[in-house]
Amino acid sequence: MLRRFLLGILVVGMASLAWAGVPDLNLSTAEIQAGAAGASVFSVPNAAGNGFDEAFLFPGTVVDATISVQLIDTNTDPIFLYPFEDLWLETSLGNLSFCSGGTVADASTDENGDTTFSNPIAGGGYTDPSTEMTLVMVAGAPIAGGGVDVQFNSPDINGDLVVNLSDIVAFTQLLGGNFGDNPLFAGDFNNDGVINLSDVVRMTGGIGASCP
Amino acid sequence: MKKLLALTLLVMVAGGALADSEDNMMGMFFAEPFVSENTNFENNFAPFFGYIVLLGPTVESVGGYEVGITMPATVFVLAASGPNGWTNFGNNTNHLCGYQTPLPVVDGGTTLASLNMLYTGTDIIYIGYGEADPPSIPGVPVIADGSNPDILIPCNLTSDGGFVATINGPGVVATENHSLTSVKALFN
Repeated sequence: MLRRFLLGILVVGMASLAWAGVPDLNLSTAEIQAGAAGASVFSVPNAAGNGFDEAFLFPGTVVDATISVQLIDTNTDPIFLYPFEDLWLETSLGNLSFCSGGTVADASTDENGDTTFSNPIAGGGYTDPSTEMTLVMVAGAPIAGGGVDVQFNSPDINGDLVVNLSDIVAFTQLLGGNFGDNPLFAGDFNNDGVINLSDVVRMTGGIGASCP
Repeated sequence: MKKLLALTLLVMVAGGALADSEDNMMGMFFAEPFVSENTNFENNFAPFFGYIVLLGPTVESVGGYEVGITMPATVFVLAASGPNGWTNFGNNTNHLCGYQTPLPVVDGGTTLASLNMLYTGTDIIYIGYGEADPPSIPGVPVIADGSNPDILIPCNLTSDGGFVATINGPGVVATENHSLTSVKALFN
């Protein structure tokens, strides 16, 4: 009887040890500051865009949309030194395209299991502000909760990770256009509700950019 | 004493207004130096260059500019070009332009672009500047600050009356004369 009891404890203990350090996607969290929901991050395939701390909230207000992440394991313990390469961003509808390693976390998790996404990403395309959410992926699976409301907009309008003539043509057609015909606000890089000279400058600065 | 103070205030206000009107002036010149005499081109029935010039910028570099150029259709703009990765999303007379790297201001001004033009007539032609289509700021040419393209600055013209240059005409009276030899050299 005692042997069985000890064996049981041993099994449970081993199982607990086995899950220690493995992120629990329901307990782990990803969040942004209150008031930053819906902010748009200007992104370029060569990572020359803005950091999340310089995101644009409509109508063009600069806000800090840094994504804070805490990784928790099944034992409710924070996970220390979870590698940043295994934490990256995707979007729920896949409209954000990104270079290899282009959306990884700033650093591996600290002793509290915390890390952030604040650096400029290497990516392109533009997300749908009405329905698309940003997901924090942990080794390929998203943290539960549906993601955070951070959007992306890039001079790489077609999302092929190079800013070239195709994007120039697309931008020129968008310039001064009616957002009724452009409900996703493509080309409005500073999210001020109008495509104007500010966006022209950003578009021009991005021409020729590709993945690092 | 009160009169003296009032007079001083009046002079300061007037001076401020004058200074403002001489900031960020956009004009067209056909040769250097950028003075009134070079706002007219005597037609020789061969292609010639007109330069879109910004005088007295309040920024250290220019990220882009926009301007609508008005002139009769009998004046052909054969080509437009500019420095620093200049890209025009408009057309030859509706400039919606950005620079891949911000264009530095040298000696109080900079040449934004050049137009290769051709006119085969003998009439006097007046060239005007106004808002681009679509305008970032209605009614006026605009520049974007090279350090922050969200800062859009409305531009004055180098002369009064909406016209900035003439062909076969008297030219226009510039609000201020500038000599920007080094600026033009940078672009050429």
